[in-house]
Amino acid sequence: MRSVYVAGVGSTTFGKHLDRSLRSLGAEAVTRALADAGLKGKDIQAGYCGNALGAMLQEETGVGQHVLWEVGMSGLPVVNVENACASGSTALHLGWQGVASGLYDAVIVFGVDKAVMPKGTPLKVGAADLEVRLGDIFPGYFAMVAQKHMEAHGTTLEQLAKVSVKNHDNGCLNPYAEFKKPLTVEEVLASPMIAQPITLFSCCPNSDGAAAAVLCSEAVMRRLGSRPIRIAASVLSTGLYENQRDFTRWEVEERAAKLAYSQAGLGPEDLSLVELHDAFTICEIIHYEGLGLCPPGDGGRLIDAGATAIGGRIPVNPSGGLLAKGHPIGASGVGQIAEIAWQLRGEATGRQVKNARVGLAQMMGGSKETDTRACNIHILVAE
Amino acid sequence: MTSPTEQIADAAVAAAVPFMPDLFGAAADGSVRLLGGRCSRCATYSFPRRSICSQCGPGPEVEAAKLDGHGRIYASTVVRVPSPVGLKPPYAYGYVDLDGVPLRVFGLFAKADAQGLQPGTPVRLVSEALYSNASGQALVAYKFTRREGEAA
Repeated sequence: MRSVYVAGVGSTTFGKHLDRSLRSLGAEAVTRALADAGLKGKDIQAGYCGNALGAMLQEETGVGQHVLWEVGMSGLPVVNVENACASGSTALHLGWQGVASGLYDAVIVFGVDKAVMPKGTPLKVGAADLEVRLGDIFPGYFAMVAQKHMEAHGTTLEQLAKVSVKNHDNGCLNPYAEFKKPLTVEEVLASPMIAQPITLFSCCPNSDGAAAAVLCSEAVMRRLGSRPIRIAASVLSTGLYENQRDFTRWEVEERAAKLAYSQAGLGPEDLSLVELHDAFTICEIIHYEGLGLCPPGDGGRLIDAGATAIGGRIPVNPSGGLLAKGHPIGASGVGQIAEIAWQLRGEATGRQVKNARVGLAQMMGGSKETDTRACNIHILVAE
Repeated sequence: MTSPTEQIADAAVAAAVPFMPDLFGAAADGSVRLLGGRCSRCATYSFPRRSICSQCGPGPEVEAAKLDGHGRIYASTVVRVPSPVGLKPPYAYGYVDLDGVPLRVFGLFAKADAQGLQPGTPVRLVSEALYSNASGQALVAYKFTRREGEAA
């Protein structure tokens, strides 16, 4: 396998873009990433688009081709990826494969979704699932995950709320973020109850937005003279769907992390920052443990210690994460890569992690049999 | 061997429309049963009944297995917002680890238990109204309710 580099990144702001189409948002992100890389559309040999909800919410299919044609790109292989929240990160994994295998020297990877719903309208997916037919909603499942973690490890409601507080503090520093208003622990706990113990401000929003990254070979990177940001690991796997699995952890995440660290020849102690899938506050706590940032069961104590704040031992979600930056479903995984690239280049003005050299991105997509359908881990290294 | 639909004997339950087919029925005494499966080779249980065993793959038959649904709550929550499928809040649900069978089953809690049941609570099955479908038919579902007279 060849080394793969991130030559350029770009993103729209995340939030409400009611007057913009998927094509318009996607084209903005792609245009920005190409400009950042110093490449033109004709230099790109393949495109990979993560889009989770377009077919359902916008009645739009083939989003990847539509977006690339908006920026004048045609006559190239384009793949559309749907892997729920991990759609963008899966597109990244495929783009990485394309360059690592030697098939392509430069590809564009992007993600786009318009997931903002009319007020009071919940997102409705999974019509064939028993759980969904019986009224299960995403916050309800994660409420049970929180219940089991609290029961097993003594994790507290205050510790969960601190995740939302930290990520909203970070969002205030990020011009791309949807929410730029700080929250207190009391406000998170007092916000409307969705599914006990998950309150409204314990949940990420459904957002509109797009993000893109240009990936390239070492030769192209050298020709461009860009700051070398190498993808040192790229992993994708499903869960094992074990019927009586332990809700306090995700085996697939621990397995994927082990594989990613092995691919990169690095460990959690080498990380400068992490962007992870904080769809709900409890997720971030469990991902601390799954990624090896702290021992199993210690996630609540890690946030208490302030270790994951910008300036802490291992900053997590300096972008604001899904909780504050927003969650345009298929774009989020690529948005993480844009944030990590800016951090590793020292360009994350206002929220810069000092001496950032290694960043890890983690996404999980979709639920099945109480497990996850897709877990992605990427490790980026500034050389 | 009887098919799952033939096992729905109880007149009251059979007359109502189940929210999904082949999931639950009634025993001769009227009590509710889940229609699960059990692999004829490795004995892995499933609910809903699988056509292919998750452990063995294609080959061995997954036989019908009636489950009495007695078990204890593994995890639970109470939802405080209206559901996309039309349930009014509050409503509660959770996962139940069945007694004597290595199987965890998702279920709504009965209306009487809509304020929630804590992990460890012993439960049994009932059949109860769920919501109406697009044709206006009232649908019924199996639900879990507290099993009285037993400590959590």
